[in-house]
Amino acid sequence: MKEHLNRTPETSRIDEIIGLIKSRNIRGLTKAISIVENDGEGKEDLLNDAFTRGSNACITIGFTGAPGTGKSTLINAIIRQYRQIGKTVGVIAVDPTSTFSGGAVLGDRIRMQEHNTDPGVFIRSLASRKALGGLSEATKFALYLYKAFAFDVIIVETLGVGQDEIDVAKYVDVTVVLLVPGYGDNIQMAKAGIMEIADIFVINKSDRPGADLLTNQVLNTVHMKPENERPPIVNTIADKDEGIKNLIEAITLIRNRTAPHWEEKYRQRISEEIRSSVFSHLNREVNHHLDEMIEEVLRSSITPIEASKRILPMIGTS
Amino acid sequence: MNNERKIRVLIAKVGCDIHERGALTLLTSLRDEGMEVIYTGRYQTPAGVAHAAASEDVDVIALSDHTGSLPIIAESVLAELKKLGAEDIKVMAGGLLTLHDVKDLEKMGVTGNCGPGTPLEVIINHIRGIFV
Repeated sequence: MKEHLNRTPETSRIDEIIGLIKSRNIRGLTKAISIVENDGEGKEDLLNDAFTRGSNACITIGFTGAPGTGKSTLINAIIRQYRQIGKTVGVIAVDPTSTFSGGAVLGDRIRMQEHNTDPGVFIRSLASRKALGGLSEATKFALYLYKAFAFDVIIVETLGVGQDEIDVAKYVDVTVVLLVPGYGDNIQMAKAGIMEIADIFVINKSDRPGADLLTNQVLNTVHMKPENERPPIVNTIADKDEGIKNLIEAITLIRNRTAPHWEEKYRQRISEEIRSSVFSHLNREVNHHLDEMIEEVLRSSITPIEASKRILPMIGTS
Repeated sequence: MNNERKIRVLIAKVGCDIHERGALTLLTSLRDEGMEVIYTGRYQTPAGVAHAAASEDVDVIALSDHTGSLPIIAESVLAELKKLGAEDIKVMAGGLLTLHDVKDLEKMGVTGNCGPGTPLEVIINHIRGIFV
């Protein structure tokens, strides 16, 4: 009874959203994502619920690659394939936020319109906002909400900026890197980062000139690894639905191959989660004292380093 | 904070209408106003639009049409939204509109109906106005 007295309208709204998620209503899921994305009230309750109920039974796949490599089109074809075998699919599609206006055009969905009215497919577009490394904080949290919603397959499409969307690999089971013919030479191949996170390489638009050359270049990169760790290379033509079955086979293969290392991966994720939660609390606390310290430093009474040492003991007391 | 609330808009075109320039202009203009904008593309169904809007948790659906069918489109989209329990999403309309259409639309609760020649600021202000 006592608990009821303390309930604000806000907490009952969060309960309502959690109820909707439990009954697998998409309005619940999408409202939860908005709250988490906007750092709104009730965010922690929603995430706690997701952490408690979410399972790792679903398969999570990350797609990354430069703009124009056909990520959205490929995902569209993959959704179609998974739907044919009766799997439900959740998609998180991330597009860049304009650094000038803070606005964003979220254009991934347009390539997946054929699944618009399919109740077994849920697509949500997210703007990167200020995230670096291709995966926004909101994306990561949305992934946990999706897991609690228990889709069979969860797909994350990350920002196609270029060479270092490496973050996504930490949070998904299988990372797919898309390449297309005509995007740089072997030197690009050798660069660290995106090439190293690939569990699977997809050479999309394989009907274009240069596809064989690119396939060979990737093969050379891949051959540096021991045979049982080599990422498969799959040739696809996404808009003609070619190679999609092979890709899905490769995804299943990788998921089974990496199964022995899951626990290690989960440990890493949990440690990241705890760490980032601590940091976000810290950030908020530090912000409380920041203005006052800036003034002091401006008046040259202390240095920024001294200011930081003064803030530290104040944390947790305010 | 990083994550201040952003206005999310779905620009949608339903049925057989090829005229896309208005939708595309609005797409980039709203982005430049700091909004997060999603476009359905052409030739959509009312159910598809409603489903997309409900999934994306947008604040407003901006229907664009140049075939003189906006009241019919709006009516069907509203009905589909209701089926999904997403009646809280606002709907506005733009494109080829007669005064008669505007009256019909307003009766359904569709506000911010912009006929030919409406300055961009009017559209932007209408959307911002919803959230004051």
